[in-house]
Amino acid sequence: MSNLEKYIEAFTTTFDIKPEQTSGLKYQDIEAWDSVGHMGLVAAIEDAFEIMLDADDIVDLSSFEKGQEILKKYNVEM
Amino acid sequence: MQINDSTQLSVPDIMKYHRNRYPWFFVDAVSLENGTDHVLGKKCFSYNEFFTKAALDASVPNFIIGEALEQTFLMTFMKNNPGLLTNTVSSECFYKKSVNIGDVLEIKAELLSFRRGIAKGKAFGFVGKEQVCEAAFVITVPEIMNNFTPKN
Amino acid sequence: MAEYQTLTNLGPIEIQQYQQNRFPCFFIDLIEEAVPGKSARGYKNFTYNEWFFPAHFEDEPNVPGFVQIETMAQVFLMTFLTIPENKGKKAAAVTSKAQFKKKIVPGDKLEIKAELYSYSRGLARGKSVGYLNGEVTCSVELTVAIPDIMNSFIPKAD
Repeated sequence: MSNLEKYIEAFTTTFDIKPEQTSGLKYQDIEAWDSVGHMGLVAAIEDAFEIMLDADDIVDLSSFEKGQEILKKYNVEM
Repeated sequence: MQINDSTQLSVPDIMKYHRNRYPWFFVDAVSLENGTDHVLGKKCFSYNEFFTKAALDASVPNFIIGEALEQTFLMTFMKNNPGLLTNTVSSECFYKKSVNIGDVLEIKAELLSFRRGIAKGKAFGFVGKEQVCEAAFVITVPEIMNNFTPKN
Repeated sequence: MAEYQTLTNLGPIEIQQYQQNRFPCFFIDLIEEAVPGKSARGYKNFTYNEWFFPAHFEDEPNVPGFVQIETMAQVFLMTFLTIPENKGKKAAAVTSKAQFKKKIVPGDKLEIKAELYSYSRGLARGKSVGYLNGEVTCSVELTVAIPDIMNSFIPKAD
């Protein structure tokens, strides 16, 4: 599975959405991406890429696209 | 199940950890098992409690039993976060047998994870040696969790 | 399941003819409609003048999760305790699986819709959902037993 596929899967499994719904998705755009859902997403991303995100990066991870930018710092290219 | 005297918390001690108060306070004693994520709790049910007039028989309402399990479970992570407010996200309960007024409910709670202000775990209730109920909880500590949520 | 007459606008006194919950553990103000064997909807007003608010919590009063569960469950009871042969019988929750989305505070009116998925031999399964201003606030999936009936189908020890 490519990094992009793993990243999309973190969103689709955490929020129970389709892959095509991930592009452009932002925090609180959908009911499932509330504060608790956010923690679930972070955990899913960390597990998928075997990384631990910094607190600042977790706060900044406010959209699908922002997350892709942040993960570059952790050597996860998509 | 024995409560270990050397690690036992009484009601005034417990009140330093979570914010529930009479008449929504359903744990009489807690034992913190050092070095583990387990906590033992005890709740004695007496006729001299407000909810007994709500029942037409001798059984304790199940929602109060569930809350007793939850308040013991709180101690598994509030011991490290004394006095902060908590918020229940989900609970899953199984009531196997009724608990009656006069019973002593002994509770074993286990913290499965506590990460960024979200606690997940389970609690099991026993009357004598018989397990009468169990529950799984997801509870947040907003003051911690909010440090990790995006700001608009 | 047989069809029964729909009941409407049941106040607390009438509701208590169907279920055994009583003050201070009675959490319905009105059942707007109960379709026996199918569904029920009603509401509960929450006021600071209730025993659990000062205790949960003094500086941020909100309805405890288990009171929310019990409120939704008591509306759910009206989906099957309104079946004539069940009227007034004791019911006890066997399992509950609840989710809480938003806090409920003094002054809120919680509207509840309950649906009975199945009822057979004293065991009821279904779901109850709570709404504030049209938004889902809490929900619970329930299995509730009428012990008097269910126990008559349990094998007896020799």
